[in-house]
Amino acid sequence: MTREAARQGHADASASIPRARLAVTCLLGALVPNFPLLADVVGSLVMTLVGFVLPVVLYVTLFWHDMKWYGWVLGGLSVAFGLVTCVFGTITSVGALIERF
Amino acid sequence: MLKVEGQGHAKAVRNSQDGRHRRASPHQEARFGRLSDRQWSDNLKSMADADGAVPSPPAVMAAIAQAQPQHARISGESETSLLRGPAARTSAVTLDILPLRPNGAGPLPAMSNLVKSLLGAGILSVANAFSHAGLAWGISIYIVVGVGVTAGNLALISVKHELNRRGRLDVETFSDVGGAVLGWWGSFLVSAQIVFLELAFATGFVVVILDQLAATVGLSQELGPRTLAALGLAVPLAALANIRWLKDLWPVSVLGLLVYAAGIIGMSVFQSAQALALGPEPQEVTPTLSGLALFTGVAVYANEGINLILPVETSLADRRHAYWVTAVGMSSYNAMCAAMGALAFAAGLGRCDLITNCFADGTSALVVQWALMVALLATHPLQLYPASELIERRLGIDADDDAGEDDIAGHTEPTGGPKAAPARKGCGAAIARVCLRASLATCETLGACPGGGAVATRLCAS
Repeated sequence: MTREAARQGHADASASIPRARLAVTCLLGALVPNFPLLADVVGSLVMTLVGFVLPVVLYVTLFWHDMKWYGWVLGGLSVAFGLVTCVFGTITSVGALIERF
Repeated sequence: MLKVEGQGHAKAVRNSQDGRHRRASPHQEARFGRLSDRQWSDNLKSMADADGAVPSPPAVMAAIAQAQPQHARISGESETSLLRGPAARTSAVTLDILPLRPNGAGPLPAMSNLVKSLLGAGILSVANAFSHAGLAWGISIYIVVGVGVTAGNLALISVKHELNRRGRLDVETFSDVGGAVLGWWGSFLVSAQIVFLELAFATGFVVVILDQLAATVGLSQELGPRTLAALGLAVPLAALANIRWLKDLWPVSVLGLLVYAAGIIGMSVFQSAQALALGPEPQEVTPTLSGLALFTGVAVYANEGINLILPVETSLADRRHAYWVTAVGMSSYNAMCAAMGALAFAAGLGRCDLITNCFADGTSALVVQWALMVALLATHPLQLYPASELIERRLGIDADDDAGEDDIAGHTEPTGGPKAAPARKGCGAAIARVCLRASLATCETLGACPGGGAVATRLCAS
């Protein structure tokens, strides 16, 4: 395969990814009956992990040597809140989403 | 070629070019860190000379050890402990020799960019969420969410600063931090959530546009018409997605900002104040567990720019300001969202899924709804760029020179937003890391990197 052909192949693949994602977002958008339900699912499923769990995990992994007891307590509370919200919120919001169908 | 001063340099280079790789001693490995073959390969690719000859990892370590034993700043730590050990014994690199961005943003512009990046479609349904939780519970949960998310992001910034202190100057994005601390899985996990979230946010844009079409032109909420309308939306969206320079169009960002700030927030507060002046009582809500969970999900979702904290931090001229900039910016934003949502709910605007559908004044409500649709259409492709580029990088497709997670900020904030971490490609990150680990044996090499000059100058002077 010539370099030009390879470059063209890469360009085609590169262009197809946004198009595929565009199609996916449009179809998903049609399937979701209203915006608050989508916000619930996404907020509960992923953003609680990103906002409450992952930063604490990274922090503890790096700083566990120097952490005081209250750091452990606050970190534990944050992770617990994130996980409980993630599990319970996802179940609730997905249930509500199914109910709306 | 790697520039390592001293007598050991030439010998090490000869060995590497001859293919006779000297094995570094355990002492040397302990002293300068043990990188995986992949990491070394990646690092050294950027250090190859014009002939493409890449020094082997052991040869480089041996050369560094022989050339600069007296200046070693990183001592007694392997790569693992370098990342996980106590901070005091790791590196002389401190935030005093950072920032790397002499032309970076000041605290107030950075805070403004942070708030702009947090502002998104999530605020449209905050008032509705209050109708599930009630005022007291809603405000309490919002405080917990605001404090928790802000604290989490402050922790993330301190993790990044610590990694930078320990010589990992290549760590700039959330994905970098995940990879540096948790390895390949950490990087994958963070990248996956970025892709998922960008996809979800873009889907949210489509949902809001369809809901607005239902409110303005009476589009049916049945699945069939919605699907047809969504497919119709795909045409202009695909056209816009082909405009790669769309991200540089500042009017797009200004339009979005105007719609959210003046249209949504301004109109909500105005109409809420008008309605409250007539004296209606807030709707009585008996909160349930599921209602509280739903409220929490929406409250967290309203912090849409959560992935942009590190790019905003990177855009700062003095990164020591990152903590208070983030704390004040995020707290203010969450307080504003909670106040707007509570006010609108108290005024009876929480009964609609989207607050714009409850605006009373016909003409101005229509203007806001159409403006919101146009703004969401224009920014939809921007929402997809970073995730697409992450996927391209993961798949090894490097078609776009601008690709990079760093562009997340730029794409999302085209109006001079946090253009994080510019132009490190092929130079700075790997070399800066090796240079710092080797006690700046190659200050001139580091100085050649974008943004590396300040570090090189200060360290070489010391």
